[in-house]
Amino acid sequence: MQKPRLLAVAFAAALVFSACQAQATPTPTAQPTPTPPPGETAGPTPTAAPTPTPSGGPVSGGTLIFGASSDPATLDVVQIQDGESFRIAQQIYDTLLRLKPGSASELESGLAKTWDVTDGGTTIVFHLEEGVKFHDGTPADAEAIAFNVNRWKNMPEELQGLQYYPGAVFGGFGDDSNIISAEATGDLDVTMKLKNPRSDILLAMTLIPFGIQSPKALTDHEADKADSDYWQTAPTGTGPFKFEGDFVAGDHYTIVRNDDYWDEMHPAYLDEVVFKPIADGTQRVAALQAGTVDIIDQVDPNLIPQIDGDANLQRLNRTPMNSGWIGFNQRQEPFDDLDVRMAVAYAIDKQAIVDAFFPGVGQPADSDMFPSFAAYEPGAFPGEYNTAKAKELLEGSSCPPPCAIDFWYPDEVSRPYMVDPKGEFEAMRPMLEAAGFAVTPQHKPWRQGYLTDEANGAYGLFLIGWIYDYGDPANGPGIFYSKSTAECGGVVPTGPINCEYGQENQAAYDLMQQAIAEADPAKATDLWKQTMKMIGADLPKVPLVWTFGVLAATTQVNGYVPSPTQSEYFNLVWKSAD
Amino acid sequence: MLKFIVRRLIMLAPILLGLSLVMAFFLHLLPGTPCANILGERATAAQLQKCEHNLGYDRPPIVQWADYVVNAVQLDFGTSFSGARLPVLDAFLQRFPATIELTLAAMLFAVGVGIPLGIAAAKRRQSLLDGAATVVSLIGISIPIFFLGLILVYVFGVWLHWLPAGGRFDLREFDFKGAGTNFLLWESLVIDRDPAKFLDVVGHLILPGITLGTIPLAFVMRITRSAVIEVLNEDYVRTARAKGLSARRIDSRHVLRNALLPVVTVIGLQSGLLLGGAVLTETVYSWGGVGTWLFTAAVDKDYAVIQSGTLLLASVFVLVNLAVDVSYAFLNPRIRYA
Amino acid sequence: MSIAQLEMPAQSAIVSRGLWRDAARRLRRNRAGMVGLVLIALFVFVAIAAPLIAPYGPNVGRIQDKFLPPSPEHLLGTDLQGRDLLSRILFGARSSLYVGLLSVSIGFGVGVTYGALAGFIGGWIDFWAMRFVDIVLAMPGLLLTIAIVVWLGPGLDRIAFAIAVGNMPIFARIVRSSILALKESDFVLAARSMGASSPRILLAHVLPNALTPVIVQATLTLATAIIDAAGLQFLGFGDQDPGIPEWGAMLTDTFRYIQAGATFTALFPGMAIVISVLGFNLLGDGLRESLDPRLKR
Repeated sequence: MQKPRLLAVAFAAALVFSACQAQATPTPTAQPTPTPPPGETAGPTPTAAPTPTPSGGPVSGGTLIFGASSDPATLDVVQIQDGESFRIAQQIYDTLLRLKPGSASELESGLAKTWDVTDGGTTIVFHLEEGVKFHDGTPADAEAIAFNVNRWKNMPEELQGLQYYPGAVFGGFGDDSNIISAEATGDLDVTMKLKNPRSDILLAMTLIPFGIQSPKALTDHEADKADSDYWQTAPTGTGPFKFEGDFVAGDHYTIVRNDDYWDEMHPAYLDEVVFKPIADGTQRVAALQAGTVDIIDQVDPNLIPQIDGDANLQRLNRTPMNSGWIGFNQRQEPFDDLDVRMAVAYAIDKQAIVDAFFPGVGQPADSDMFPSFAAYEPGAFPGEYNTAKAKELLEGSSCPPPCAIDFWYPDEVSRPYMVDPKGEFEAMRPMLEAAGFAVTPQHKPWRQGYLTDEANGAYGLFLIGWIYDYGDPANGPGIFYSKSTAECGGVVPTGPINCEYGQENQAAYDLMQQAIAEADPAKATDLWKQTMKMIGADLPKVPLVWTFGVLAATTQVNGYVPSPTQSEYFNLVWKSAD
Repeated sequence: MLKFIVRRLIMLAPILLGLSLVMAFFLHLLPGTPCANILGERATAAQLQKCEHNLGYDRPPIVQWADYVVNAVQLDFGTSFSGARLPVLDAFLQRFPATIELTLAAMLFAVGVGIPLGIAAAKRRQSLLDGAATVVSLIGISIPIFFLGLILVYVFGVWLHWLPAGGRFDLREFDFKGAGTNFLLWESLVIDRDPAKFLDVVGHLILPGITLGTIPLAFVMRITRSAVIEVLNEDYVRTARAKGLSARRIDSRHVLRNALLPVVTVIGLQSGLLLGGAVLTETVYSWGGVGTWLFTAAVDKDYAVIQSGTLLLASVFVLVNLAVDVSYAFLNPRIRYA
Repeated sequence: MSIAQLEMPAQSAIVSRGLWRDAARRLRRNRAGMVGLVLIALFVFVAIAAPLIAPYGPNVGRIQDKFLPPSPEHLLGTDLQGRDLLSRILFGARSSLYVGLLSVSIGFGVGVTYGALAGFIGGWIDFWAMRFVDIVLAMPGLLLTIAIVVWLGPGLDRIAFAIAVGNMPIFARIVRSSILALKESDFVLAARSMGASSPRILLAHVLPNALTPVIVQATLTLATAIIDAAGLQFLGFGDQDPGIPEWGAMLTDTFRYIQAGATFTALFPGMAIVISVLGFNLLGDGLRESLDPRLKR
């Protein structure tokens, strides 16, 4: 036990170097570029490997064991919401467009070789790759793509709640959907017509919930029914890996190389990838150190020294795309008073929270956007650590000390922006009490009520955050401050009321709608900055941290390009000998 | 004997029926329905209502129960709605072999160490060995199982790298997609005839087996000790000794045979308990058995799994207890069941 | 199922009047039992005197001081929140004692009443009452407790209740079998022939004698209750207020960071559990040996 630690010191420098390199992989550009693609440019190559090994280039073969945090919930892509399902689906399916490995907003071709956007952004024609076949041998032609797109629009109602992404990106289903139609206008041409333009629509097409699945497999297994066995027995795409029957719930999910992968530039190196669910974060690290798995995700930041101190391990950092904050509901007492919200903002020592829970992976935040976004407006949300000021504000507010408040945090969850909700609450409680608050802890399991209650505006003060799907404000504030589609505790909102924050700022809402639809990046940026100033003045939240996710792997793992959006392509990964 | 077994099997029916009724009302008490899980976090109240109606969760619990029983009799135990959405029976059959193998390892450890230790302690009462055995058994039942598991994982898995820290086999080297029984010991040895694979599976069983086997070890050791002490005091043993029979002969012919009875009972009862799922051990070793399965189901309020999983495990438990009673009668001809 | 049940047939519950005096004398001579008693006394003392003997309050600390190594100011170092680990362990004795006592009181109260009534009334009522006990016992143990905690929500009292539900049938069974044996015993038959009423017989004659094996069981159940509560805390079910120190939760939290600053201090909350549980197990064994003359060495 002592010896490896001493050894670790010698290797520390090398590891720090490799970690920095991993972090230095492409940072997201501020704006999406919905311009036509460069055509046949060289795509991602394995040279993008974060740790080039001296032994030379990639080698084929081998099995990669991925220590996942849970079983996948589903591999029918339209229903996917959770990260573990995202990860496996990403290897089995292809999307029409892809993100450049490691990027949050640079588009690359996928199943669509090229595409044209016309009619002010309401008509998109995808020109497909030729000769692509699904794993079941059926052709991935224009008909198959149109079948998939139409499925995003038309779904039985009792299943619609399951399909977060199709619903969120296209604003609903059936007649509510932003999709007017999708048709095969040639063997290899698909035309998608939209009601309204949306500046981030092409970026959204890179998300795996819009992956393309075999119409035959979907139909044969009645995937549109609630009790379908489609994903456990026949998840069928065009991706570099395929399902071969080896899923054992709770134990492992194995996918194998697709030897007939259509993208000849990027066939998989690995023979097999196995996803092994290990729920507990500490045990994931233990499994990695013991050699049971090759790579793990969601490393608890407090365990990073353990990774860095092990000569056999490397750390892979994603670019920051996660934002955590304390939210307020402005329709709940005492948070209807701006001074009370301000007092909270001044009471919290963000730096101490970051140091304790996000060492090396986060920094104190002053916005729910990132400084790397062009639309980022510094100081839009007021507040810095100053207990005296907090106390003063509270004394002059409608809720003088001791001001009794409920502090809500979720159980049974760990998110990159909220690694240890209970611990963070415990750390913030003394800070709030020093400012004159009397804090009562309140908590609920994440998936059993917390999220729904929070979205319905049941909580006055709560811990929450966001993982961006891609680098565009439409995917952040554009969702947080929109009129809620959910009911506010049974009352369907009529005006621009956001249930979650109880915010009623018509001017800010109107401005934001303009920003979302604006096609000119410069103009959109300007609109977003104005919007954020108006929203920030209401202080709907206290931004706490910006964080990035951390993966850890053995040094044998090469070519893994961490992506801020978690669109990580395992066909680029290869394993070197010991 | 046969009559006794049949009668006990018939008794199984009201117990299971009663259990399912208790479970049905318990689930009715839980707030919400599985629809919240089926539809995900963003479903509207209208969608929830529709889903509940479609799946019949808006009916009175007694009607739901009757419906459940009718289906269960036809071996349709419903479908899990969280995690991997499998029919409950399939999920159970996939998980239960892992639990059986874990139980087997734990009981092998408990019996293999407990019986010799118990005999040795009984024969040298009040000796250092006896004291040590008592302390071991006391600590065995006094240490939280997850604490022991965590220590073993860190010492032997993470620091020393002697044994695997979790999982059922080395996913890198082997796979088990052939027979699909999920009895890995059996598959590796009998079907694949691969000694290396078998040893790998055995290696993965050692730490979880020790962790789970500590409590049964304490019980087996204690019962063996007191049973052997009792037998040693019996007249026939004294007579045998007076007749000048060798110690070994006395041990094998008289002592062990008669002391075995209560030990077998304890082994059976403990196995029955372990087969009910070892939530903590399975959690520590990321073991895909029935314990973590039901635990997740309870947290996720996965009705079908809670209801049917409990029922299936209770059946196993009752059957194991029956087997214990039968073997008891078998070993002790003095007991007769009318 | 417990050792007490296995080793102690109900017949042995037929005891004489001088039972308690004899038992106390025997217990004093039982070395293991006395060690157990001392450990429990220590445990109870710590729980009661925690505010007096703990160097800090259980929630005093700054996040900046997390995982300080042991020092004169913090004898066992600090935890993830920068709080004094020793103080939290001392205060944690309260949660353990609370859950243990509450769960055993509930389990004992309900189980003994249930089992005594069933055994004393007998007949069909007894038969069906025991089938219900069979049903509860057939459910997988800790899972039943977890399901109840999930149903009731977080809180030490709810955890105690959930653990109690799992223990009730065991108490009920033991009491019932003792009572069945006692009902046929000479002194009960004598009382009945002298015209004593049924409730009077139950309360004055049968129950006190039937209680001895249950008392042993209660002591041992205190041990398992503390362990079960720790297990629940390991799985994430603790008190509503996370500031309340609980050994199981502390052990889990510090063990998580055993290689990232918490070092060997992670072992201390675990050792606190082992020591207190050991105390109850030792005392339970000692009591059984003292109460059951058959087990004389």
